[in-house]
Amino acid sequence: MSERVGRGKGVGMDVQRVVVVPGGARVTRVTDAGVVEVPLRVELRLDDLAEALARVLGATGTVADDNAPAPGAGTLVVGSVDVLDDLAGSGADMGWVVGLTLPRLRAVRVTSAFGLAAGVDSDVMHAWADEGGGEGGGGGGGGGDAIYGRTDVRLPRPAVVADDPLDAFGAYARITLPGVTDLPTLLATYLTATP
Amino acid sequence: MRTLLAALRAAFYGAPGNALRGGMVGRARAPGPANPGLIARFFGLLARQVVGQVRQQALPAPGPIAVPVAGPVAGPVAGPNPLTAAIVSTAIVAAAMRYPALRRMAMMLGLDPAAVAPTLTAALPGAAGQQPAGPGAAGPQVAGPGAAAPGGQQVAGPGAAAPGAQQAAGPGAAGPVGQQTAGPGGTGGGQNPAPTRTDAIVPGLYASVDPAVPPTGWTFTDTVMPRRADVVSIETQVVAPTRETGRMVRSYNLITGNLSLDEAFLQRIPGDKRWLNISPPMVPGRGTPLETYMTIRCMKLFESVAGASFFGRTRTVHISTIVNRRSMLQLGAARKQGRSLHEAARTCHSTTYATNAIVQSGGKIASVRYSLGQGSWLPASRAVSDPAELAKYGLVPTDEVPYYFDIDIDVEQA
Repeated sequence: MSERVGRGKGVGMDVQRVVVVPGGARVTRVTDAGVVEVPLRVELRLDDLAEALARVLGATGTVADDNAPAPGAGTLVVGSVDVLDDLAGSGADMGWVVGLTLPRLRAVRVTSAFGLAAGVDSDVMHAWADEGGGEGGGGGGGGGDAIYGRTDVRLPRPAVVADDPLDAFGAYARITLPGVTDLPTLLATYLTATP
Repeated sequence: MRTLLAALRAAFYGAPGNALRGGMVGRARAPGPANPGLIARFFGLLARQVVGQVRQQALPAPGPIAVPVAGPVAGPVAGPNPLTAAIVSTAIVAAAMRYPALRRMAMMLGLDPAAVAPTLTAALPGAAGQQPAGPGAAGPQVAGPGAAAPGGQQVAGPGAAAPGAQQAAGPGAAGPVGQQTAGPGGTGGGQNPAPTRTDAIVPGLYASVDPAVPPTGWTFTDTVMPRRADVVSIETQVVAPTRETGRMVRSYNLITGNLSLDEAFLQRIPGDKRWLNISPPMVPGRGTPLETYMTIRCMKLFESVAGASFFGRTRTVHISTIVNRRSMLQLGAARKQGRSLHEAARTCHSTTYATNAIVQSGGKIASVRYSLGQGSWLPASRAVSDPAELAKYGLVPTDEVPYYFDIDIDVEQA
C-alpha cells in the first residue's frame, strides 16, 4: 500500500438525496433459540446508514424497499449487487451509485466493472452494522473501514491507497483514511472530495 | 376458501420460499432431506431408533472405519460380522442408488447410502485404506509437519510424505489427495498429535448437518442473494459462542450443478475454537472443522433453495480467486521445479482444505485443474516478505508465485 494525498480530479458530488435500496436478498438467522427471518434493512441497519450518510452529506436520506430511483442529478443510490444489476441493466448513471456488501475478493473489480461512485465490501459493511464502525474490514485483512473508489481523486487528507492486485484494479483501489473509522464519514469524504 | 387452503398448505408444508422452516409434514417443493416437518421428524426419529439397532447389530463399529490416522494405521477392522455387514450394505447402497425416493428416505433416517459404501469396503477382508503404507504405497497416513488445520492455521514445517507418495514441494506438504495429513505442524502438536483431518467419509456426518439447528452457542446468519445469471450465492456470517465472527460465501450454478467456494474468512475465530463438537465428528476426539461444517451446511441450503443435490454426485468444485499464501508458495515452488501446476494444485493447501467437504459429501477427487483466471504471477516477495519462509519452499524473493488464481476439482462418487 502507498500513502499519499490524492491528486487529479475529484468526485465532487453535490448529493441532495441519499436513497438506500436493500434489494432482494433474504436473510435468515439461526440460533439455539430457533430460526428467524430478518429483513436485510434491519440486518445491515440500512435506515441508520441512510440517515448518517445523509447527515454528513447535508442531504435527505431514505430507504426504498421498492424499485431504486434513477441515480444522478443529486440523487445518490446505495444498493447491493442485485440492485446494481438492475440499475446497470436500465442504463442508469452508475457514477451516482454506491455498491454495498460487495464480495471481499472481488470488490474492487465489481466497483470498476460497474463504474460506481464507490463500493463497500461485505466485511466492512457487516462490521459497521454489527459494531457501529471502527473495527471493520478485518475479515479480509483490511484493518479499519475502507471503501473502493477511484485512485485519481483528490482527497482532502492523507489516504492509504492499496496497490496490490487484490485491492487495485484499473482506475480503482481500496482506500482508507487513517483516523476516519466511521463508514458514512469515509464515504462522504470521498464522494465530496473537491476536484 | 383459497385462504383456508393456503393456511393448511403452510401448516403442512411450511411457508413458500422458506428454506429453513418446514411445516408439519415437511418443506414445500424442497428436495432433499434437510428439513422434515414435525410429523416426519417424529417418524424419522422412531425409524432411526429401529434402524440404529439393526445397524448396530449388523454393521461393524464406525470407529475403526473412519480412521483418523496420525500415526500408525489402525489394525484390521473389528466388526461383529463382516459378511452380514457386506450384504446389508450392498443391499442398502444398491436399492438407494437405484431409487431416488428410497435414497432420500435413507438419508433422512441417517443412512447415507454413499456413506455406507466405505463401511462395505472397510468390512471386506484386506480392504483398501486399511493396509499399512510401505514404500510405494499410497497409504492413508502421511504424518508430517505442516498439517492442515481449519482456517489455514498452519505452522509450516519441513515437508513430509510417504515414500512413493506425491509430495508437494517444500514445507507444509500435504499427502496426496484422498489421504490424511497430520502432525506437529497442525494445531494438535506434541508427542501424540491429534489428527487434524480425515479423508475417510464419516457415516452420517453429512446427513447430521441441519442448517436450521446450529451447534450449541453458535449463530449463523444466511443471506441468500437473488439469482444472478443462473448462479445462487449464499453468504453466511458466523458468530462463535465467544463472539468472534467469520464469513463465508458459496455459490451454486443451477445449470452446471457446480459448487463454487468463493470466500471464507474465519481466521478471526481462534483455531482451537474452529472445531465443532457435533455428532458424528469428522475427526474423533477433535470434532468437525468449522469450515467443513459450514460448507456442508451451505450445500444443504442449496439443496433447499436451489434444488441442488450433492451427496455422492459427480460435480465440479470451483475454488475461485485464491490468495492463500501457502497455496501460492506451493504452486510457485512447483513451477520453479518444472512440475505440473495441475499436479501441484492437487496437493496444495486450498485443495486439501476443500477435500473435507468433498469427501464427507460422498465424493472423491477425480482430477484437479489449475488456471490463472483473472490472476497473475507476482514476485514471491510480494506474498511473503520473510526470505527464510520463502526458503522453506525453495523460493527466493524474485521467484514468481501465482496470485488470485483458480482451481477446479472434478468430483466423482466415492
